[in-house]
Amino acid sequence: MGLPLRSAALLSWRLLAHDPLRLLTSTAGITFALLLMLGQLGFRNALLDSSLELLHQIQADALVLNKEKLPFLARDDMPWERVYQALSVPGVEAAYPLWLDKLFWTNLEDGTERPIRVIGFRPGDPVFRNEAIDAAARALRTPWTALVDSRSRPSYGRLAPGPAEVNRRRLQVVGTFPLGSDFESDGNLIVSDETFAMLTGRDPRRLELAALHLAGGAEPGAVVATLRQILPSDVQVFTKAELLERDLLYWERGTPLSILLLVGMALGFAVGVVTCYQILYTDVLDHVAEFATVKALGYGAAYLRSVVLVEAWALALLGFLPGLLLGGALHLVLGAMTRLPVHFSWGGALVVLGLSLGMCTAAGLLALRQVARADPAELF
Amino acid sequence: MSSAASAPPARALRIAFAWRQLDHQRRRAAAAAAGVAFAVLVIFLQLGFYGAVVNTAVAITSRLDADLVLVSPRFVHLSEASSIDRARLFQALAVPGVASAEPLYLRYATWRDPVSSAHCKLFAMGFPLASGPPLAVPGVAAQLPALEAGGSLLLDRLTQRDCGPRAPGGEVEVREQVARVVGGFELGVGFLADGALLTSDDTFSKLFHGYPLGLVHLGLVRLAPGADPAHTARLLRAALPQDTAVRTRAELDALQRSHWVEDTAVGNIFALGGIAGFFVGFVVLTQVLSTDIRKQLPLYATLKAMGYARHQLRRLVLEQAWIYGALGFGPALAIAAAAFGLIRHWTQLPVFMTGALAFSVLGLAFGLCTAAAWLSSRKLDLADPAELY
Repeated sequence: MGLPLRSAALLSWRLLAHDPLRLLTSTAGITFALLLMLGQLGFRNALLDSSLELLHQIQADALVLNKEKLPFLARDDMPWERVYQALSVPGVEAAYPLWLDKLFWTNLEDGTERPIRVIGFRPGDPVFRNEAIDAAARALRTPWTALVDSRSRPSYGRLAPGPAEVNRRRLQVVGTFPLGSDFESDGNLIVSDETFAMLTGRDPRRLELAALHLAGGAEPGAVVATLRQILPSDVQVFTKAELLERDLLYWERGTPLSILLLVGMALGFAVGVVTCYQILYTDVLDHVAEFATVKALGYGAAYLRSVVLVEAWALALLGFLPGLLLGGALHLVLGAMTRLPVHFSWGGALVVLGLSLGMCTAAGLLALRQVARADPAELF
Repeated sequence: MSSAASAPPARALRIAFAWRQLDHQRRRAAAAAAGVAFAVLVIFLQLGFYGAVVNTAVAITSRLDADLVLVSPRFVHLSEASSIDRARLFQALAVPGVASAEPLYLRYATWRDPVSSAHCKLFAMGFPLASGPPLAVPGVAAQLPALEAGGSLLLDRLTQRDCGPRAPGGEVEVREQVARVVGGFELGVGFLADGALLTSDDTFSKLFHGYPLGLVHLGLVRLAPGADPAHTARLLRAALPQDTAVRTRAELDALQRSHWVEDTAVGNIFALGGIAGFFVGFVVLTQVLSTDIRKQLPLYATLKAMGYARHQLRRLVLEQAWIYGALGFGPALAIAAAAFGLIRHWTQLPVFMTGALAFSVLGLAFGLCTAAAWLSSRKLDLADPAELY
């Protein structure tokens, strides 16, 4: 088994490498099909990842929020009393308030104002899963100070410690934290509850959400069920995992953009199969004489089939490498353009490899069927 | 006919040659045309989606019934329109050439259908009924009297289907307050929201918990007949304080477009997809043509021996490529148009097969075929009459 496969691989390679220019265009075809899929896949992942990122960054076992707040990134407030009411439920160890608003940040380089999401919290409350924010809690206690999201869009200008202007009021940036933009906001700012009230002029007794920490042995499902019974119907309660799941579903199904991106990806795959099929089909027809010779030498049809499939896999691997490199570059460009988290991951690379192999295998099987039907020398 | 027969290889004859070449191997020709069709389909869909992004961007701004628009200098795009003082509108009225200056209020509204309890996000627009419809959309003017009753609204007919009642008289909850759909209009806001609604300024204020009508999101300035927009804009800029910016509709369109196409990259991603489709098509066709040429080398060698020049043979390949292109383009156009219809039905997104789209893709397909023919016809040099036998 080992020897025929090796010789099949060798023969496949000779057939492919026989015409370098054609090999180059074939590889390019597969690469472009992969790029088409990668672009749409990467963008779709960015849409989903970025939309869940803020929630991911919040340290909580369960959350209480306005019942209209869907998705999580939408802004809707609720009365302060819900925090106390939640605290009264057994198993709830702590309930921390968070405030949210959209204000205007002045780009001090060109004087333009851009909307920015402002998050208020009581410095010292363990509500963020982010060491940079915890470390800066003490500094934030000084009124008119803020932390700025270092991954906000470049349109905000300088994003570093120093003087800044929000809603035409001066404040001091005392540090940065990494969060990134999403489809709802281009950037983020974190301030103390006191600074938040002064900046927005809003009643601090209306807050955005309560982050609940449960006691060690408490069963989250049971506590959340009790909370749902006790709290008035103007709010909703979720465990963090439930809320993440709800929002993921909202962004996947509820947004037409994610549907279009899915269509684009499916189309990329189909085009990849067609391209690879074209390449293999013409290649086999071109080499009928060679295949006939090989068969005359005593190799069976199964051997010839494996030659074609190995050719398909070789093409898949050849297209994969430049596809991966260019796809990585494409993601970098997209990430820089949008400041969305368009990450490259090894998991993503594996997905590309899988897509590439799947595409070419499907094409190889299809080509074999067609060739068998139009088989001039009855080789297959 | 008779003149064609007596002339040297005429155009019709050459096309006939290319056609016979294809007819000779129908199965291969069909496969090649299918490859081109697929690539062209990708280009169509991706550019159609791009168009939907642009249509989303200018859905409202391009339909504003105004010559100039007053906005806050903070204006970035419609969903982040901050407000200006209504007094600026009265000041604008004093500027020569200004016939009227009316407010438009904008907000996202959460919406619930009490029957299906579907939950949606709609883009709400409020305006003083006396000033006439803010959007140049057919049918709105006739329905203004119906909006006089408090809590009544007109619903965009292109709102997502599952968002609730579109028949007049249906009751809905807008921001947890009861409102009534008294009519409809056709707008289509695409990616901006699940749909749109129009109300009187009073209802708008009521729905948004006493929204202060002194804070205006857009000031719609209509000019007196004969007034020059550019000149009046200059006068307005001079007359109004720094807290108000004067924009032409074209400028607003451009701001919206740059937000949707570039800032969010939603548009760019589809443009990139179109480019990828182009290259895939180019590769597929190059493959097919090169193989064809190689297989027909004796035939081309014979033609060479008959005295055909190199450029004439190249021309034959080119025509073959164009025929593949034409064969692929037709089905791709039909499938894309059908797909757009389906997508419009499912998502209510403004994807349309327009003449401009069809012609630009036709141009791209033509370029794709020409480039593929050019690259593959280099193989013709392998045709050597001396090796015929």
